[in-house]
Amino acid sequence: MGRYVIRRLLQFIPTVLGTMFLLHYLTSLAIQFSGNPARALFGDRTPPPALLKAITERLGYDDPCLSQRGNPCLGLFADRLQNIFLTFPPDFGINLRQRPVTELVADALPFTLKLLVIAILFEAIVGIAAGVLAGLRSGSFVDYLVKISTVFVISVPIFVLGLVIREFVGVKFGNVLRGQDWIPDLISVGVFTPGFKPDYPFASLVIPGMVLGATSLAVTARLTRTSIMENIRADYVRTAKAKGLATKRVIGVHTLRNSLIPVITFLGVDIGAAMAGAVVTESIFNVPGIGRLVTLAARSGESSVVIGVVTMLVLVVLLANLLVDLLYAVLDPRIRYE
Amino acid sequence: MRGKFLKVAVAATATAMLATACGGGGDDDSESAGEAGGTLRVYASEPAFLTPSGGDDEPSLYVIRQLYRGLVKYNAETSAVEMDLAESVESTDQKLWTIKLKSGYVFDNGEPVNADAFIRSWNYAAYAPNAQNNGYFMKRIAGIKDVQSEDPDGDGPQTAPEPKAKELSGLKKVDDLTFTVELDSAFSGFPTTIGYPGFFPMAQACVDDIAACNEKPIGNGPYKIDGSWQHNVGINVVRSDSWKGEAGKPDRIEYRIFADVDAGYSAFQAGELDVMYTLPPARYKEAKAQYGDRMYEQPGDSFTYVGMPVYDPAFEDKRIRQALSLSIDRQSIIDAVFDGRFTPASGFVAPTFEGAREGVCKYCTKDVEKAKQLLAEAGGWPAGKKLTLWANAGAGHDLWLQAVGDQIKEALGIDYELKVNLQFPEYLDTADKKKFTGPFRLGWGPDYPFMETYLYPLYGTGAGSNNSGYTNPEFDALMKEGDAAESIQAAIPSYQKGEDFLGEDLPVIPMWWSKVGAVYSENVDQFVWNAVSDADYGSISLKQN
Repeated sequence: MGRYVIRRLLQFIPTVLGTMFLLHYLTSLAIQFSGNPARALFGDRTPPPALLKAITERLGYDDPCLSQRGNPCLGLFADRLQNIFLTFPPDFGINLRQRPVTELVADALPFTLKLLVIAILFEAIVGIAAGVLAGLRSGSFVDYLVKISTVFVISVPIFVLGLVIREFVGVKFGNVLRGQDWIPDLISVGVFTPGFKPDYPFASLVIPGMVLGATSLAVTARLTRTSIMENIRADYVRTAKAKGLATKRVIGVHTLRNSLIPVITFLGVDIGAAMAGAVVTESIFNVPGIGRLVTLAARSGESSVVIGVVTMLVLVVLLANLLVDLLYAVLDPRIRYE
Repeated sequence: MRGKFLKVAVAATATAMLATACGGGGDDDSESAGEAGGTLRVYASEPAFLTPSGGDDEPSLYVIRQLYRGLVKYNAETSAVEMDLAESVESTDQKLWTIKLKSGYVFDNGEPVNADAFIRSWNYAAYAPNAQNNGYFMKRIAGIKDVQSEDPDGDGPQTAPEPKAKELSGLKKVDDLTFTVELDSAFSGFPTTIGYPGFFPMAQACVDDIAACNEKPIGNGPYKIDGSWQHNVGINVVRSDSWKGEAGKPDRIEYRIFADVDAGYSAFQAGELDVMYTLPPARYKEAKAQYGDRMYEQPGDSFTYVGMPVYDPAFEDKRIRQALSLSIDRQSIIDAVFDGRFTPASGFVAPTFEGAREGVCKYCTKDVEKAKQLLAEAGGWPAGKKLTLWANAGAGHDLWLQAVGDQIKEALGIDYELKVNLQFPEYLDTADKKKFTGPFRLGWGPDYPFMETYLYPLYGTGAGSNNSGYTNPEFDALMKEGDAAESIQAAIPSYQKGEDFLGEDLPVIPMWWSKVGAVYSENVDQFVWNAVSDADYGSISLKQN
């Protein structure tokens, strides 16, 4: 087990370095082909050359390789790696507004984490519950309800769903609720709002989190349903029933535990997908998190922010995958890591 | 049912309130001034910086103007210069300006707002190694060249040497409340420039730790920050006890930061905001229908033009430029592409500015016959040559530029191609280096409420933003004449004569002026929009219960 974890951790190194180089190369190419981002800060006003130079230097866009198209800028990459891995605290550079990337991430991370927790909890609890109900009574009304509603959710892209929910649930329905005196503010002003609100830091994230988790919820429900239907006919379940175990125990412990293996795999992988989804959801619901940060940075060509944030996201996905693999052993005693 | 009833009730009260506001406004001054109190919640984008030397974008300025105050302010309606912290701003030769300050003003940390506070702030902005965006605005002050080091090898990657001086030689302290400013050359409009936040004072503690001052500004204005800047979330400001001037109306202003204007508009619709200074373009019509009398519209001062590469032989003849301008029907493009969100331009100075005239450009209304005739006189357009129309990518300019191209093609039979693949930084670089091979889109906004801001920087020989390469000694001479005039008013005729040359020579084709479109909620009693500094949240009063 220990050796396995170490081996996996060592594999992280080339993955992270590879990703960073790709990002570095892509953002450098973007600057080589679209020009010095510092010049755009001044817009129509032509800045005095000395001032433009001072700002370019401070922002780290003064490396001569950034004006040679196609140059991979290896020197700049080496500098970057050195600043990130060999200095303490790690220096990811600054954005166009001269704020350190580490600070930007520290500001944004809590919002994204809250959003992710809401999304994952929502999709795990509701998704598994719906899947179990549907799987146990195949062909029943509940089964059809789950099947049809999940197809519906899967087929709507998240940005459409997000915009529709913001407009109709956050604004229109919310306005109706806000007109009723008997509804507490936490619900009418906090939860049913078109976006994140500093006054209700948790309540106003509930709907964005649910939107973020919606697509995965549908997949989770379908996976659980199929898995339950398969396992319920398995020999060991029949044995358990024949032993005279209570139905609760047969389903809750024996069937569910086995059926959850594919679901857990999916949820683990989904943390990465949810991070990607957060890019869309956070922009629609104005959540000041990582997703919105990286969207804005990509738009304005802030390479240090893009590289820093995406590297951190890669680490999160890698760690989540490792955790999922280790969880297999817990769920299925037959799996062992040497 | 209940929802419907509520809507009717709200509409009825709104009408009633409107009626009383209309009835009572005229005869009672104290009532029309609006009462103080309450919390104003406004839409904002993430500012770039909250220091006077750094913030040069709209979101930053809207916050800085409440936290800090400068020498002069602008009248909300007439845009005239009024003294704020300055007792007087005077000069006999328009070159050496003496500024006297009112006494008794202090920063939030107790430091006095004296001559040093201004000199310190301007020097800090001007010194190139400080990399402050507003260093640009100090360009007229004597000694600017010495604090901005020359590039040793033109455009090279070498590190620039230390500038010769740390401070502007043109700034001299006379006594605690008096200092003099010497300009590089005479400029009659100087008093209008110093109301820009780049010229606001900074405390010593602020310059000593600029990063901390950016997070938690040490202002000298009617409001002070509550807590610190919550990046990407919001900025809250409250009434400042140390402010001695005219107090702001709301007790507290909450700037809610949005990354995207659509999300902000949704929040406004949900009643979470009191003022939105801008609207999502796609929802302009809807907002106008829905909010009607709570929508504020006014001609703006942001100029969109199609620049002419005068340096290119194909555009050297002014008749070619006149012909191109005559074939464009501006209003039809504004209606078709922008839902009427702009005002067609017939001059080079914003219509809201003192000295602006309608119809300075005689070639700015569509006249196909005249266009054809002028083109023929100029020797026609080379057969088979395509007109290249330039715009930067990803900002939606291709739509209207295509309409311009179509109209030129229809009128003059000149085929065109769009070149809209350059990203903004590279596009600006192309403009700086004068590499455009055809008409190009660019814009301009005023730096100060003085008509010169629209003239010399764009069309003066060798001026910073003269991207068309236009050179006219007579125009330059008129600009000089205006700069050296005795007063702001006396300068206007010279500038107007200069503008007349532009109307004939067309170094750029004027397209349109922006329109301000703001909406405000039912909580707002009196909505105030400053003709120069735009949204002035401190003057907006709320309904008091």
